[in-house]
Amino acid sequence: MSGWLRRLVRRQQLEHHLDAELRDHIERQVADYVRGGMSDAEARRQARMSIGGVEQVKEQCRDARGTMWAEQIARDVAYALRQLRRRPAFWSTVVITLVVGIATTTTMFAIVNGVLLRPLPYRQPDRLVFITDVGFRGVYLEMRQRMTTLDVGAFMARAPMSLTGRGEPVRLDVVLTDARLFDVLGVGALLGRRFFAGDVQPGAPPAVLLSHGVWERRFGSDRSIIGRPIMLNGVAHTVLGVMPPDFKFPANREISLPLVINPADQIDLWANGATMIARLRPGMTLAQAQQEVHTIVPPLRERFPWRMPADFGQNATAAPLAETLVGAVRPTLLVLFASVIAVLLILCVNVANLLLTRGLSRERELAIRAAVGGTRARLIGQLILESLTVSTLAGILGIVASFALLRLTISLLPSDVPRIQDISIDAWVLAFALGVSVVTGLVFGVVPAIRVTRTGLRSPLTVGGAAPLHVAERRASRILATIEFALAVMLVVAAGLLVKSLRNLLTVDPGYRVEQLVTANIAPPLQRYREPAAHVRFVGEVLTRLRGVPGVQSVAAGYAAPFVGIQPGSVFAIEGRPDPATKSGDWASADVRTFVSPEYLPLLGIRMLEGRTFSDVDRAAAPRVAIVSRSLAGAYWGTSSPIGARIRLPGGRDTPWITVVGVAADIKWNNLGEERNWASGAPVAGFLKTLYLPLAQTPYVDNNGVRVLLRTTGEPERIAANLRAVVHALDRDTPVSDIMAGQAAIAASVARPRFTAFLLAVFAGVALFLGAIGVYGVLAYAVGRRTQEFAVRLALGASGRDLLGGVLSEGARLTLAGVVLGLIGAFIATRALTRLLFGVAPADPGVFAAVGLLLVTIGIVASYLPARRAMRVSPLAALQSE
Amino acid sequence: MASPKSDIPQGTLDLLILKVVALGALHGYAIAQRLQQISRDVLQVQQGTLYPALHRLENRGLLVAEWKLSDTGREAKFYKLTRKGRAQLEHETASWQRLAEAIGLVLRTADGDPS
Repeated sequence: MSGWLRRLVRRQQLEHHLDAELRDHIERQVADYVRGGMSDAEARRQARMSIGGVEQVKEQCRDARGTMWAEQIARDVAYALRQLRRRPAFWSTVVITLVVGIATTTTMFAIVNGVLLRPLPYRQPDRLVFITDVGFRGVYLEMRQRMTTLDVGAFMARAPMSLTGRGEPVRLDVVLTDARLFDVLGVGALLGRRFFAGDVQPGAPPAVLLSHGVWERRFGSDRSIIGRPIMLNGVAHTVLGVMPPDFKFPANREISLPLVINPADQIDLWANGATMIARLRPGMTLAQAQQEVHTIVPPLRERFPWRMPADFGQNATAAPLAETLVGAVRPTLLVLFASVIAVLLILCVNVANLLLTRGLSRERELAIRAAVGGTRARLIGQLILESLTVSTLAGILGIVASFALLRLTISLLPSDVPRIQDISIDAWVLAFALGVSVVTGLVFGVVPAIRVTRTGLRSPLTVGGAAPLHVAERRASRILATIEFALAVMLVVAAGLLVKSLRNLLTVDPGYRVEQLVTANIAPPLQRYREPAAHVRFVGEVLTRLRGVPGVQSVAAGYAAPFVGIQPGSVFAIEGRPDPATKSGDWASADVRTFVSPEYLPLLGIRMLEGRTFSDVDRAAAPRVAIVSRSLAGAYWGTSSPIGARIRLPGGRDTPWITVVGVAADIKWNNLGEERNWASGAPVAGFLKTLYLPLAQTPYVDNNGVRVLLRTTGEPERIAANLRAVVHALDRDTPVSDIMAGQAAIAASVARPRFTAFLLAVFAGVALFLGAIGVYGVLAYAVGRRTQEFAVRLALGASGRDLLGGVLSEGARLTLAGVVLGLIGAFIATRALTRLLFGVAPADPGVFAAVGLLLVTIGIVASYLPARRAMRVSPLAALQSE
Repeated sequence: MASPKSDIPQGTLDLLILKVVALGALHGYAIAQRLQQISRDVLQVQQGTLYPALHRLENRGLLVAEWKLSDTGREAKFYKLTRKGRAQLEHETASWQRLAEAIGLVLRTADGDPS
């Protein structure tokens, strides 16, 4: 190899020697001829002829040397760069097109890589599993003790807590974690220590772990905070530790408190939740773990103090953790990624067509190069290298652009996309981008290179003007344009389906008046308002003062508000039916149970279908009353009226009976599409069954705070400052959070479908534009090359109309083929969208028909412009130009 | 583009070059002349194919080249057989003769044996 390398390095010298050697040969030949009696000039001519083309011989000698390809690549890259400089307009169009394509593709891949592909930031993340469909603390304790295949840990997301004593009170997102969870995940604290078994014992002193983010933001990265108390919900909690920056508490919470489980408290054990994450023990497989979960969980049904459904625990299983975290967004991301790839392909096809048509006009250049010793393979290699040089250049620029584009896209991503913080441009993304650049170069370079050299080498050097297009070349560019059009059709269909689905979603009536509604959360500290009476009085005072604020029409309060936060449901017993508390009957259940002030239902504009709404009469001491939603009434009273029926919440014989006094229309609580059960996450058909109770009769107060609802006359945004002022005037330690306009809350709930539809619509728009350009380009070029043919035909008596018709029909054939192909492709591909669609079938005939029509129209418009030019050919001018 | 005519197979040209050079160091033009003489114009050696063949053989280590002052007063590139080249020549000559004999035998048999 060293010889090879030396030859490569000493290229110049070798080149010089080769020249000298051939010159020597010719001189000797000339001398011989002259000796034979020839004239000097004749001798020289003969000598040159006898050796054949000097340049060709040189080329073959270089070939024989074996360093050819490396030298050639260097020379060809230089040549390609010279080409770029010589036609800046053409090539900058190509490069910009490619930069856009590569940057978008890279950005999308960075997101897919961060969310779907990159391993979770834990030790051996593929050994982590999630226990689905069962989440009771009692079940957790049993599994923790008995599972042989899994090490089980648990956490429980809970309502935010108020941090006070450090400036304005704020709400922090909280997760309760068991000490075992840290063993399972394999993480420790950055500062201080994480929880150990002693911290989660009943009666252990209150303790807290801080996430790195909160430690930086709220505590100014103060290392001395370890071991010191902070006030959470008015109670001092000792800061035990700060977690490392790459560790996110489950559910992205800001702080963690110990998950304290008291095995003696049967209600806590079997009524309250725990979310389980586990690690497969060494040597155990997922299948074995699933088997064990199936064996252990369902029999636990008997341990509950009340009757559980017969199928309890049947669906519980162990699923890979990564899948559980990102499974929900996978279809969205994959659809977007596929669309980006489709756009990139369209770009490639477009560029290929550009090169093809331009390449045909380079045939003289190619013919010359063939004549001076380039073989066809050599020319093809050179043209492909030209494409690769361009695409690599575009790739480098595209990577630079994708840094900015990624930042923009992340800011647009719906906040419910998991692992957003894991998205970045890492080595994999860079490798992907470079790979895409090279593949792109090959995709758009190969076909034109093969096609162009075929013509280029065939056409004689003497051809002056443009030669008529060869059938094969025209077929190649037509096929490319058809493919391009078909891809555009597929993207437009997908975008159409998603937009229609989004429109369906947005036209769903949530059942309450969204306009000029503002909601906020206020959390009166429990140390002052633990008694329900005090709590209700405080809330009442806030409402009274808010009524006086200019621009406020009416105010209400409730523990839940639609689309901002709902309360868990509750089971209840119905008077006159078998008592579920004795295990002989079944609990009735509400999906949402909320305590509300009398103005709540009227303010939201929820219609009363029967009976009355709450009033000031329903105070604490008055008889207990309830309003049920229509769906709840239908579920337990069928068609008969529930008015006057009595129900009882769990809690034993002393809990008072509650009389149903009204039936309210249903509303959407969380999602305009499919609602989900608060606790299990299971989809609920129709509406969430809701139980409304008077706020004044609330039997307990918790730290979750209460939602204040305002109907405003002015700008909802201007209320925020007033709201804070009013609340803080009454109590400085009551945080006001989650101030949100009604529309914004609804919009947030459709953020993901909106994002998907938006991006896909952008991609489809680009595809449509490029597709139209593609058709236009092919026809315009063909018309240009056929000017003389048209002129002859006009001279022979064809009318302009005939020519117009001819070109138009070619355009129409091309368009129709693309549309038909595209619709077939879309029919197959849009099935992948099923999970993203609401109220639209993946093969929605309306969308398919509309897209078909639209694209045919666009195709015909795109072919009309070149066709008109064909009609206007002047026979005289065209023939004279020959 | 006109493809270079090589009326003798490439392997044969290589063999002839090795044979010619085996007698002593020669420059390209002399090799061409000798080939012409030896083959007495029966074999048409296109001079254009000679130089690529020389470079190929040099590249394979069968020939070694040296720039020396020549009779014209200019430097010329002289080719010489290497030890490897000599071995190759012997091997090629032997196998060529075997092949020629075999072909001759076949032709004779086909001619002289009508039965």
